[in-house]
Amino acid sequence: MIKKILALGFLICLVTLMPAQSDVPDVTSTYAITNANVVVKPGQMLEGATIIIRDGLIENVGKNLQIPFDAEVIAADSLFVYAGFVAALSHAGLPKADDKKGGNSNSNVKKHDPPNDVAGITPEQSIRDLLKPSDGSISALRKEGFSIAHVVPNGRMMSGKGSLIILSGNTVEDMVLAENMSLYGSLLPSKTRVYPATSIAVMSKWRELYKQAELATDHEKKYKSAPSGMKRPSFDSSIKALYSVTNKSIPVFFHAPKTLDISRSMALQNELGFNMVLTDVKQGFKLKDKIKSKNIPMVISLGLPKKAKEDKKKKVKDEEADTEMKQLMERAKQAKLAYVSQAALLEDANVAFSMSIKDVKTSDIRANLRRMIEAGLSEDAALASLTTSPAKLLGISAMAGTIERGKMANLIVTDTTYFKEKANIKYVFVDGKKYKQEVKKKKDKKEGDKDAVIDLSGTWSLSIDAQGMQISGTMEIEKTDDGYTGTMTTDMDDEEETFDSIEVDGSSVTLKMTSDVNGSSAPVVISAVVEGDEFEGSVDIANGMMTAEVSGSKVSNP
Amino acid sequence: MKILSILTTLLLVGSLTAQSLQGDVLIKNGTVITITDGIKENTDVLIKNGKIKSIGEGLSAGDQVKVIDADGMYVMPGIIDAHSHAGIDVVNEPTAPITAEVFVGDVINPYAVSLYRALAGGVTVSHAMHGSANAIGGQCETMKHHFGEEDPEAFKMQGAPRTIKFALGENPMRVHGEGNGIQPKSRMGIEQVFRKGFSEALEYQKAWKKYSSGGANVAPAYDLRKQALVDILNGDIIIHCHSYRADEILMLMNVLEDYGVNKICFQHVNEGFKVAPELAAFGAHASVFADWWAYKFEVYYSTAYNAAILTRNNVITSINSDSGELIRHLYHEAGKTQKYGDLTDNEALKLITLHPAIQLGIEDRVGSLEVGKDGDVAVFKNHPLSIYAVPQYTIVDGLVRFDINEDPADMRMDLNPDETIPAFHEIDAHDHHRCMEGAFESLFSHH
Repeated sequence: MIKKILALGFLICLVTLMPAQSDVPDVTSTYAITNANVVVKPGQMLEGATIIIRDGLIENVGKNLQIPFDAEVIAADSLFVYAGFVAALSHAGLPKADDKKGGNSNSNVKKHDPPNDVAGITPEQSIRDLLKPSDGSISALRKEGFSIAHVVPNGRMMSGKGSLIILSGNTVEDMVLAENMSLYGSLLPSKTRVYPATSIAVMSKWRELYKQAELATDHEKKYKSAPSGMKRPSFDSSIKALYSVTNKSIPVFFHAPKTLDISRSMALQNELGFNMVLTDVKQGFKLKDKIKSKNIPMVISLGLPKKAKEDKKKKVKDEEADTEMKQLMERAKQAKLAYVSQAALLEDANVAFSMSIKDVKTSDIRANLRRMIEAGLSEDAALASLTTSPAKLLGISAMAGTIERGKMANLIVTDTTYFKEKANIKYVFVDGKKYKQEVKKKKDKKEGDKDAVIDLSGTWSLSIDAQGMQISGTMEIEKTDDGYTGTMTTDMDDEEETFDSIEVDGSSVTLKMTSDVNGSSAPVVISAVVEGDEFEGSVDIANGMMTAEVSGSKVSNP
Repeated sequence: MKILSILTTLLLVGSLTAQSLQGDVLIKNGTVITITDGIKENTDVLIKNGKIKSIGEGLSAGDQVKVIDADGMYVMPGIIDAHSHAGIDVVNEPTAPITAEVFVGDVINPYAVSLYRALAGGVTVSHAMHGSANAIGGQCETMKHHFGEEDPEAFKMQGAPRTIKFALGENPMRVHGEGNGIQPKSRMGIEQVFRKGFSEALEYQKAWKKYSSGGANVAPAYDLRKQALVDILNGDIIIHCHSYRADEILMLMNVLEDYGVNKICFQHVNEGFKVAPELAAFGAHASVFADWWAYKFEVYYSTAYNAAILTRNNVITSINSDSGELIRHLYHEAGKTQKYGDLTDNEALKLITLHPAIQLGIEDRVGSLEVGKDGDVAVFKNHPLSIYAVPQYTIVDGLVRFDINEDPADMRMDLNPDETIPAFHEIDAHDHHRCMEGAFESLFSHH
């Protein structure tokens, strides 16, 4: 059964993906989004307005606009439209960092004198050579409303140059908006304990390379004007890649999550004088006045500490805890809160900031934004940190960040305001290209009742909804002294398969079997809630490779 | 928004303390141990703007100035530890036999509670050192214990001379010779690391001199490591050398003599008593443990009389902690020299005040209670060399940084937000011996 479900499932997936790709050309590149609530920029909304998009640009925004004859009309009554988000820092579209690269396994690497790439010094790396346009992270971000990302390479001390990437397109050339417009740097030591193995060596390496780059620039200049009698400049790609930093034509985006990272990188900046942006900041609340006084732009992290879990058992313990324990727990709580409140405190102090999505799972982006808002961040400031602030920081205010005539058609269309928990994104436009999003009807997951007593034994008829494909089947469950045993048969193959285990906890049931999936065995887990003769839940195949919804009812008792 | 305002208030309190790093305080009616000018009964010490303004009887300072009643208490200069690793995040860069370019002052950690514990032991200044993994390790930081500040810069003692860590013997041999198969594999190899390093530094200096005087049209390759060695050769950096055996101590003095370097303080120097006259003749200093040895082969042979013998031979000697535990009772460590060597009270106290100050080149600022010096003071109940001594107040630049009457249990300033249980840290890694921190991992990861 499973083999076929999977085969069909993949086919379904492919079909749903295909229209988005360029194989099927769009009928028109002109669109009219009519009668929408258009959030032009943070704090400014036009109700009942129309947006005309043509050839990738916003041709017009306003009320009572003439709809062009060639436009595809999107009736957006009661919908909201936002400017597409700009991620101020991201690793979107890049392969995962290869931890094994350049390790000690290579016996030729001298610990005290390793090659630059092993040491974590690759300022010459460019996103153009690294980006994978088909990488799933790009479409995942687009689905959350992002249209442009400042992508920086993975790495350590100087991982390479960042580029502005449009999150739409089939080739790297389609996607690069601005190339090598930043250096991504940090105080992170080498991964394999070669020099620089510690942050003290990283600090001195920064100083040395910086000075070397300044001297090399000077040497090149002199050689160009009068080469005769002068030793030719050596060719060092890492040093050359730093010229744009030392001559201050591009800034260093410095990885500085904690207070100490901020202090140290600011000290380095103060000493060397490069243009700096503090990034991935998680503890900016501690040094906000210092950062503000130095006028250093900030990109804060959308990654937050884990939410404190409410645990009933633990609560009882809390009551028993002594005063000292209570004080410690209160401090721990405040520590967590301080991180979640960072954005709110910065807003309060009038410090502008943008968002880094580098250290957050894409699926957590909206939840974390809501946590920041709950901690006091205004929705306008949240929106600014994803639109106008990063656009300004990255020098693309003239083309992105707001919904204004002449800008790139990067838009998000939602069914209610974006930051509401139940908001759904219906369309995303990136560079004028329309991406329609099927709004998944989320069924409210039934909660099992722990105290309920059920009888699972008997014959059940099941109906499985595997992403639109309907499968029906039956389950035969028998009660034994130890619990239950049983089998399942579906109309995919009419083969009877036996459950490995059936667990019942109140009205919640978990049925597990091992099935052959494309030649290897994989777990299939049905989790459901039983109410009388009704059965409702979900099926997980091969650890999340595919999921389906299942419902059923008992047709006969044993 | 209520949460927000509470947080803002909390943070405001934090930033209010981060004002000027010089305070005013008047210490009344104490027994003042000046170190350089005898003991003065019933005497006041007035600190204004972080400096000692006057020492005398019946001083007043106005209503605004905090007054400490030291009646029946002992007032001495803040204790100075010439060998510590507290308050820095990295101790060793164990990858190369010479790492003169690295600087532990780059990684000061203002949140290290060990610094508060040091204050609770009357220690106002410590010498945060690079470890002993390399023959020439990194540059060190002379720190003022301004615990409570969040800016690392607040801890740097402005104007203190630069210092650097050297190491002889087993540690660098093990890390580089055994660990990485490179020089130094033996004690002889360590001497060659120094000589080669200094010789290359001389060449480097020559090349830069030639360039800056117009003798070359292209600048030499910039090398921060060689530049630091040049600075040592020019006498701009004081050497503090991890050492045990007498033969090696003589070896390093010979090397330094050949290169014209004379600013050196030997650290540990457990066999210093064997070569005390030679150390004195060279002008080398010694910073020792009171009674600690036999923790490895090369330090098998030593004596608790080491400090006394060195002192009697006119070697500027100090007693250090090299440990977050010993740093809390250096006054007790100094007291041991009275049992082992019959040093006078003042001689014993000099081991933890004026002498470490001389070794760090800051004796014009700290190490004794004199008008014009920094307002670094430790106030004790009972004589500091008594077994019953208990520190009461520790003052840094006129700011009370430790007050036994206001000593909360939880002094952490920076909490990990993902720490679910506010765990009590039974053993703080920063509290134990950190000389080889980072070096062992490196050694083992190779095999």
